[in-house]
Amino acid sequence: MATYGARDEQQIRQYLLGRAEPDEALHPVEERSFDDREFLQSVLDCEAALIDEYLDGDLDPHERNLFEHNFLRSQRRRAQLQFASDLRLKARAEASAALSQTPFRNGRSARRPAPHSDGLKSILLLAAGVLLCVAAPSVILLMQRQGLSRVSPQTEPAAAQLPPRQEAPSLVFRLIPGTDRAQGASQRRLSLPSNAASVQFELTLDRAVPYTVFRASLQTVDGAELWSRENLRMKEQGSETQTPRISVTVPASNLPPETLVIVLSGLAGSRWQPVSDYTFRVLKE
Amino acid sequence: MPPAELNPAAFDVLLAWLNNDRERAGVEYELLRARLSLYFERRGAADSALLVDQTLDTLARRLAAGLEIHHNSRITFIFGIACNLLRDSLKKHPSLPLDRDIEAPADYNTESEHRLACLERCLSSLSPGAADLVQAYYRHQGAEKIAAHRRLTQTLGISPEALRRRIFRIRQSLAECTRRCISRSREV
Repeated sequence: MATYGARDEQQIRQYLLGRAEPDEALHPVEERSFDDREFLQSVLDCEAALIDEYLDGDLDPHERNLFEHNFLRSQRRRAQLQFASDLRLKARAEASAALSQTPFRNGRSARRPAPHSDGLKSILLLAAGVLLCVAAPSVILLMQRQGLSRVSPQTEPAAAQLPPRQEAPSLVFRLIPGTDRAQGASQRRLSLPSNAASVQFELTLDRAVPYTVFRASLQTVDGAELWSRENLRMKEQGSETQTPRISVTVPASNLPPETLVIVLSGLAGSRWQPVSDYTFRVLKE
Repeated sequence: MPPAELNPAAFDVLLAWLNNDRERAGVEYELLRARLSLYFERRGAADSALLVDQTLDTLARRLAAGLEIHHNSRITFIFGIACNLLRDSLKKHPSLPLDRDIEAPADYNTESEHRLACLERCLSSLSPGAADLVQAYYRHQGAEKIAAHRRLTQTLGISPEALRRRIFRIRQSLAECTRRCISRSREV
């Protein structure tokens, strides 16, 4: 089996991130791919690697720019990006479900969920939370007034159209920056049912920010990081009344009953820059 | 499977030209598609998939009409067709609009439920080892990811590069299975 060195890999990366004029002669990578099947496979592997690096935030700013401007012009690659993202989501949702089910199963022994069965349920639950949020603007307005509220899927009519309810519901909380600390974290209470699997936080932004990729870090008030998630993106604004927001789902097992902070950062170049933080207190029911 | 517009007989001629063994010819066909996709994508074609189909249709028709293409001139001939089609396409669509609004990967909507259901189904069709491996590979992020990948290479006794290749092969077949599943669910 042929092996390809760092020089080949660099050439392939440059090829994939670059552009050519329509009449431009075949690139050496194209010529070699035609005759060498293994080399072609290494080009396709490099495509997959670039997508992984993009999703993991590992591309440097220049490469990221080329990736978004050139590489992603192709619908095929956008589909690949979506697939890679789905795969991560699935793998992590399954891991979260395995973690969160352990303490909340009313005395059942801790176990890993059966392969490929409970994972989908937890994904559908998360989807239910988001759909609920989108389908029920009155609930959103209520949450905005209260700063932080809980939406109970059991009481919301929109939930009737969603997948069957499960034993461990997902909750949706909306947090507004800035006012949290001024009003005191005690007013931002997250009452967490004992059987909750996860909580979806809607982090609203009070100003325009120049970032497209975000990171949410869940921390104690002492600054110890309990959980984090990267590659978050701003939700599209459906109407003028909707404020820009970032949605992040945290496994309930990562939410101890104390005052916590979600620190939101935006990716600028290769560094995370602080955007907002959201303080709240967790109470376990 | 031949593109919808292509005469099955012409498609058979194309496959036979690619390889006498039908199964290998199918693989060669997919590889040729991949090569042509790279070509069109790098040159900013608005609809690469369509141009790939058109290139292969033209090639198949020429072969079915009795044209003999010497082995050494295959690349020139195929990319000659591709270049002409690209030029025509760019006359109709001079510039590809740059859409910076890349779909939020974690954005759930109705379609994403179908996608994830298909992914779930395809994962369950993999061997348990492959399904567990690919999920273990993508489960973590940041520093945890690096440590998890290192553990996987140690457990499997392979190099990081070999692990990556193995993951990409599983991912490729999983992506293809998911794509087919989504297409089928749209047809229903």
